[in-house]
Amino acid sequence: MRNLGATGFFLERASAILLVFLLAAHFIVIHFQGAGEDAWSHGAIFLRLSSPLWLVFYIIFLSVLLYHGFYGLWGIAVEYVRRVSLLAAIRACLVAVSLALWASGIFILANSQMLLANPPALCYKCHARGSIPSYRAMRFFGLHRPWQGAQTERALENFPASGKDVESAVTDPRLKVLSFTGSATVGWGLKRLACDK
Amino acid sequence: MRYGQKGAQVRRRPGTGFLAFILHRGSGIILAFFILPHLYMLYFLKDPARYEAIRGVFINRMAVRLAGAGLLALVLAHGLNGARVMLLEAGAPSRLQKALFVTALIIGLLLLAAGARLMIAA
Ligand code: HEM
Repeated sequence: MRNLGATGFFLERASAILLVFLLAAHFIVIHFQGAGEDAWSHGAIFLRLSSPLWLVFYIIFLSVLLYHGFYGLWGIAVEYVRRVSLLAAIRACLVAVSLALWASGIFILANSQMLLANPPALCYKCHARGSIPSYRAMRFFGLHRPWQGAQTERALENFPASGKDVESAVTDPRLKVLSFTGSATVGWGLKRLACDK
Repeated sequence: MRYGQKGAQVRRRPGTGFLAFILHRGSGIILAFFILPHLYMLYFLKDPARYEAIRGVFINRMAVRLAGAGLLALVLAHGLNGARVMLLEAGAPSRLQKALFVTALIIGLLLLAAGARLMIAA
C-alpha cells in the first residue's frame, strides 16, 4: 500500500472513512433487523428504492466500496509483483472486473426504477412495524406513506408502517387487495376498516 | 535501530502488528470478493418470486445466518484495524500500537456480540 503514490494513498483513506458510515447505515437498516425480518424483503427494498435519497445512497455506496476494495487489491499486487508486464496485466484485470461489477450494480438499480415505473399489479401489503429504523428514517424524510403521492398506480408490498399509517392506507379508496399477518384483533380491525369505506 | 531494506517485509514478523496486518489484509481480500455473490443475489430482484425464494433459503438456514455474522466479524476486523492504521499514520505515538490493537479488539467483540445477536435472531 505504500507504493500507490500520494493521491492513491489519500483516496484509499478517504474512501475508508466514508465506508465506515456507509457500512454502518447498510448494516443497521438491512442486517440488524433480525434474519427473518422485512428489512430486505422485495417490497421493503423497492420501497427504499422508490426514494431518490436511497437511490443516491446506493450509487455512492457501490462506487466507494468498489473503489476502496479494488484499489486495495491493486496495492497488494504492487507489493508482491515486481514484473512490470505482469503488473500491467493484473491492473487491466482489476479495472475490468471492478467496472463490470459497478455496471452490474447500476443495472440492478436502473432495473428497479423501471419496475417501479411500470408495476406489474396493484397490491398493498402492510406489515405494522412501528419501531424499525428504516421506518423512522422514511418518516423523517416524509416518505412513510408511499400510497399518498402523485404516483397513484404504484405496487406496494410488505412495507413497514405504524398503526396510524396503516389505517390511512387501508381506508384509501385505491386499495384493492389487503393481506395481513399478525394478531386476530388487529386483523379483524383492519378488515372492518377496509370494508367500511 | 535499522530495519530490513525490503520495506514491505518489515511488517511480516510475528507480534501484534503482524497479526493485525494479516487480519486486515485477509479480511480486505475476502470482503472485496464478496461483492460478486452479493450483487448476483440482488440481480434476482427483477423477479420478486425468485428473489423471495432465495431469501427464504437464507432465512431458514442457520448456517447462512452464522455466515452473515461471520461477514460482520470480517467487516469489523477490517474496519477497526483500518481505523487503527489511520490513527497511527496520522501521528498517534507508535508505542500505543498494541494498546490500540487491544482497544479495537474489545470494541470489535462488543459490536460483534450485539450485531450477531440481531443477525441470528429469527
Ligand atoms: C469500515 C470500513 C473500512 C475501513 C475503515 C477500511 C480501511 C482500510 C485502510 C486504512 C486500508 C489501508 C491499509 C494499509 O495501508 O495497510 C484498507 C485496505 C484495504 N481495504 Fe479497507 N476499509 C474498510 C472497508 C473495506 C471493505 C468493505 C472492503 C471490501 C470491499 C475493503 C477492502 C480493502 C482491501 C482489499 C485493502 C487492501 C489490504 C492491504 O493492502 O493489506 N475495505 N482498508
